[in-house]
Amino acid sequence: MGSQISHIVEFIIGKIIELINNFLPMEFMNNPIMIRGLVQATWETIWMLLISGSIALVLGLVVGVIVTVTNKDGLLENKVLYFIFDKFINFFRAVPFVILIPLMMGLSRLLVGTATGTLGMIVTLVFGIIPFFARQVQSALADVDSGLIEASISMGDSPFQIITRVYLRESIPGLIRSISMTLVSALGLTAMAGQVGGGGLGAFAIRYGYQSQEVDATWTTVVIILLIVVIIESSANYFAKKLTH
Amino acid sequence: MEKVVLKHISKTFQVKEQDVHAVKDVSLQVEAGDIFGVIGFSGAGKSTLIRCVNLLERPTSGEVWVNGKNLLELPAKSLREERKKIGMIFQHFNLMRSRTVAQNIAYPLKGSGKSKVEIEAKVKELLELVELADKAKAYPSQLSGGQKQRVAIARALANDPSILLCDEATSALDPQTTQSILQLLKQVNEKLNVTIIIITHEMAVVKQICNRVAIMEAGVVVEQGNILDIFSNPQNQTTKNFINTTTSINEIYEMIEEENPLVKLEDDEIMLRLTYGSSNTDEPMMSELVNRFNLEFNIVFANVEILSSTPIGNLVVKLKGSETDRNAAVRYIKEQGVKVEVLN
Repeated sequence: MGSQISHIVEFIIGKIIELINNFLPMEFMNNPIMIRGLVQATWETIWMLLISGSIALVLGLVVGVIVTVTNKDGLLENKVLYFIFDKFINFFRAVPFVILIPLMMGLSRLLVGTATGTLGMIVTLVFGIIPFFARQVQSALADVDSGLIEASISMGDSPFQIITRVYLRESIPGLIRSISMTLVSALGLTAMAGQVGGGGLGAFAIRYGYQSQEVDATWTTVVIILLIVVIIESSANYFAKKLTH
Repeated sequence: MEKVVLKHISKTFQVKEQDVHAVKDVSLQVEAGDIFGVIGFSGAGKSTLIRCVNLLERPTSGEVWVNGKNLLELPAKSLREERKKIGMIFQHFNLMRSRTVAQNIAYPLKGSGKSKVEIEAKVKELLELVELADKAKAYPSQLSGGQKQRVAIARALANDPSILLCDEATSALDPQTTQSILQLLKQVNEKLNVTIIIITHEMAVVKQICNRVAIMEAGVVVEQGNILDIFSNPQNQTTKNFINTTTSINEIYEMIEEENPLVKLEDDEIMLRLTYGSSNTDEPMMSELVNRFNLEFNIVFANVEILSSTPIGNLVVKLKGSETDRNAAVRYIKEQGVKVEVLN
């Protein structure tokens, strides 16, 4: 399965490079090692984004819901829980990601057995993404009309039912936009994570584009990254629009 | 039988460390089958009061009895079960935008133990009741305000409640749509035997469908009772103000102030304002008046309201004749149980 996808990715990247080469003849096109490196880097970026993204989106959603309902005048107002989770978000949003990398080393070793490599970067990425997404969720849920909450209480719904059937269900378009913004911002984090052994397009651009001054290599990574962003944003827009009534 | 009994309800909010007394020691009794109106200007505390009935707001003190149960003493789960028996509709409808009309109506039925087929049948029945059978698959954003309120009514009735709370349910609607919603509520009250409590700032709404009314001002119920009694014999100034909003009789007073020629009186004339109660509208009083006394009379203003199938009249008349006849006539009118006010 993984190798199949990587074949498809390889094919697509090959096509893109060919396309760029039509406008801007590139020497490194003739170097099969470079091409293989680019394909691998793209694959690593997508893998980091998907794994850390899906874990962080689930956890971030939970944190976002918790801060929403425990907030003052919330459904399950709870000062202690709100304080803890609100400060958690603020703390991890305040720490720059490059500092988060060494900060998370211990936890990463504990959870996945390593603090380096693509796998080692997952934990750090997850903690980098959660607070961003949690705040997005919080603002999407805040847009849910308080009248709807009141109506569902009057219909005898339990707090859990109100969370799933009103808060989450009614804010799906907003949540989809939040997911898209979060993934795009997470893409930036994966590039940084690449510098310390995570691999991916960021590392590729630094190694070839910066250190070997291969301008072509830099531009190719830019185009691939842009393509990923366009795919994320346009599919999010499509679904958000489709689900808005 | 009492459906809803509020005993000495008070609700105090803390706003910027200051106590705001939204509701002060209010006691009400709503009987089964009533359409009970609570009227007041905005800020009178009526919305807070109706929210105390299903405990959307927990009163600071007092007791809330619904269907013979003291809601404030129920644990959370039993309270939720009781809430299912109390439908509620709102000024801004509060429909779920992501759900179709049919899904909105089915919303309270999920997890009720009903099968999918039963739920579908119930939704269909409710859609027919509110005359929106063709809109089942539409989304709320495709509906007009009146249609949205109809969907909200259908949703509120999904669990066959015996009580329906209406919080300014017609305030966002135009007069014509208001009429049709009020007719629907009356139908719900009569056909489904649902006791209704209506919160409103419009006396016209109360006049049209309520059989009992409470008037609220600054968190206090200043007057309450049977709608006929309140309309024909209001005691409190706020009540009088509300009643005056539904009739143009007050223009008479302005005309007198402005010395309008229409209300100018000759020396042998007096002008009276007559308010017919419920018991005396059948008597042919006016013709009796002319037959018994040597008087001419002229109607300046007339207004007859039909409240709970009983007419209530307001008349402003000029009587022309000798002083003895005039005084005798006024006495006679009073003997008939009609309220007389001499306007000059």
